[in-house]
Amino acid sequence: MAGAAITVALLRITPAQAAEHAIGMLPGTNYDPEEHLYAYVIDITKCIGCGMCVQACSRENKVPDHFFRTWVERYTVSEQGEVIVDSPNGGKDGFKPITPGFKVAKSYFVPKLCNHCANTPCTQVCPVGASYNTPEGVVLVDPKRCIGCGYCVQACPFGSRFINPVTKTAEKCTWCYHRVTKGMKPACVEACPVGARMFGDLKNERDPIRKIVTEAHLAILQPEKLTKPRCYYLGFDKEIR
Amino acid sequence: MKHHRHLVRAGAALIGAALLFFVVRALVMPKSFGRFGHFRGDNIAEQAAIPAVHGAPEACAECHMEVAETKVAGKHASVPCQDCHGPLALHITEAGKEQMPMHRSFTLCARCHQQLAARPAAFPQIDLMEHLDVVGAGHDALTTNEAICFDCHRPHSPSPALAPGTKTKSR
Ligand code: HEC
Ligand code: HEC
Ligand code: HEC
Repeated sequence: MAGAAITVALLRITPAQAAEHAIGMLPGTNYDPEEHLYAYVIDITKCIGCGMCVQACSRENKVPDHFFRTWVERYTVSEQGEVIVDSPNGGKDGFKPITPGFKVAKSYFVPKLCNHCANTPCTQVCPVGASYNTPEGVVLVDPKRCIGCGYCVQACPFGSRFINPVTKTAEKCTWCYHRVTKGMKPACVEACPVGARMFGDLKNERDPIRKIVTEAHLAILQPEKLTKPRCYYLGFDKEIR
Repeated sequence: MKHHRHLVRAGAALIGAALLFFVVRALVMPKSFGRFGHFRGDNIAEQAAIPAVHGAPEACAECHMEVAETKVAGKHASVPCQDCHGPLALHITEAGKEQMPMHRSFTLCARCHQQLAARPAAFPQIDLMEHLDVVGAGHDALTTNEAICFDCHRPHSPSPALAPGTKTKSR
C-alpha cells in the first residue's frame, strides 16, 4: 500500500504531465514569456561591415576571443561567378580592403547569428535536456546541465554553436535573452549604426517587425534543411550559404 | 503448488526495481526539470536575471544631455554612443564612475568610413589617404597624427567639417 502511494507521488513529476504548467511572470519582473514571440530581420543591403555588432556581442556576453555568437561575412563575387568569403576575426575589428585577384562584379556583407530555428536539430540531439526552445522562440542552453559533449555543435547546420573553452559547455547566441526580458533589444541590434539588424515581437501589434515579417520578401538560410529559422534576410543573394 | 513462489519473487523484484528507478530518478533530476518541457524550468529565470552590460540607447543622455542633443541634430544621429566609447557597465560600476574609453584615432572612423567594395554605394566612404590629400592635410598625417580626423571633424557631429586647427570642444 505504502509502496504504491510513494510510486504515485514520484510519478507526478513526469515531464509529460508537468509540461502543461503555465510559466507565468518571471520572478521579480512583470515579464511573461508566453506573451512574446520574437523574430530577427537582417537587411543585407544596409550593412556596412563595421563589425560594431560583433564587438558589442562579445562584450555583452563575455564571448571568449576567437569564438563568435554573431559574426559578419564578406562576399566578393567575380563576373564569372567565383565567390570569395572572408570574415577576419569574425568582423569584430571591421574589414580592410582586399584584392581578390579578379574583377569584382558585386560584393556585400552578411551578418550571421543563431537562427533560433523553430524545428531545430540542436535541441533534439541533446542527451541531457540542456538545450531547449523557450515559448518566445528563443533557443537557450542551460550551462548547469550541459555536459559539453558537443553533439549540438555538430548538429547545427549554421555553425552557430561552440564549446566555451573556459566553462567547457556549449554556448550560442541567446538573442540577448537577459536584455530582451528587460525590455531592451539584443546588443548587436542596438550597436548597428545603419539599422541593418532588426529585432521585435510578433505578438505586439505595434512592433514594426510584424509588418516586415508578414509583408516583405524575406529569405532564410539553408531552407532545404527544414529547420524553420526565425532570422530572416532582406536583400538575400544566391551566393549566400 | 510451490511453483507460484517463483512468480511472487519475480513480481517483488520487478516492483522493487521500478521503485528504485523512480527513487533514483527523483533524487537525480533537478526539481524544475520537466515543469515546462524537457529542460530545467528554473533556467529560464536564471538566464533572464543575467545583468546587462550595454545600457539602453537613451541611458547616456541622462547625464550627457548636451552631447546627445548635438549628436541627434547631426549626421551621426544613428551612431550609438556605446559603439565609439564602450559599454555602460565599464563606465558606471559598483565601485563608482570609471573613465570611458575615448578612441581619438582614425582607426575608429575607418571602421565605418574606409572605402570598401562591399559597402552600400550610397554610404559616405573615403579612401583615407586620398581624402587627406584632397582636404589638404596630406596622407602622411596617418603615420604622424593618429587623431588627424579630429582636426576637422567633431565626432558627435562630423559635418560640416571645420577648418583645420579650429579650437573646439569635441562636441
Ligand atoms: C563616432 C563616434 C562617437 C560617438 C557616436 C559618440 N562619441 Fe563621444 N566622443 C568620441 C570621441 C572620439 C571623443 C573624444 C574627442 C576629443 O577628445 O576630441 C568623444 C568624447 C566624448 C566626451 C568627452 C568630451 C566632451 O565632448 O565632453 C563625452 C562626454 C562623450 N563623448 C559622450 C558621448 C555621448 C553621450 C554619446 C552619445 C550621445 C557619444 N559620446 C557618442 C566619439 C564618439
Ligand atoms: C559606427 C560607425 C561609424 C563610426 C565609427 C563613424 N561614423 Fe561617421 N557616419 C556613420 C553613419 C551611419 C553616418 C550617416 C551616413 C548617412 O547619412 O548615410 C555617418 C556620417 C558621417 C559624415 C557625414 C557624411 C555625409 O553624409 O556627408 C562624416 C563627415 C563622418 N561620418 C565622419 C566620421 C568621422 C570623422 C569619424 C571618426 C570620428 C566617424 N565618422 C566615425 C557611421 C560612423
Ligand atoms: C583638413 C580637414 C579634414 C581632415 C583632416 C579630414 N577631413 Fe573628412 N572632410 C573634410 C571636408 C572639408 C569634407 C567635405 C564635406 C563636409 O564638410 O563634411 C570631408 C568629408 C568627409 C566625409 C564625407 C565624405 C562623403 O562622401 O560625403 C567623411 C566620411 C570624412 N570626411 C571622413 C574623414 C576621416 C575618416 C578623416 C580622418 C582620416 C577625415 N575625414 C579627415 C575635411 C577633413
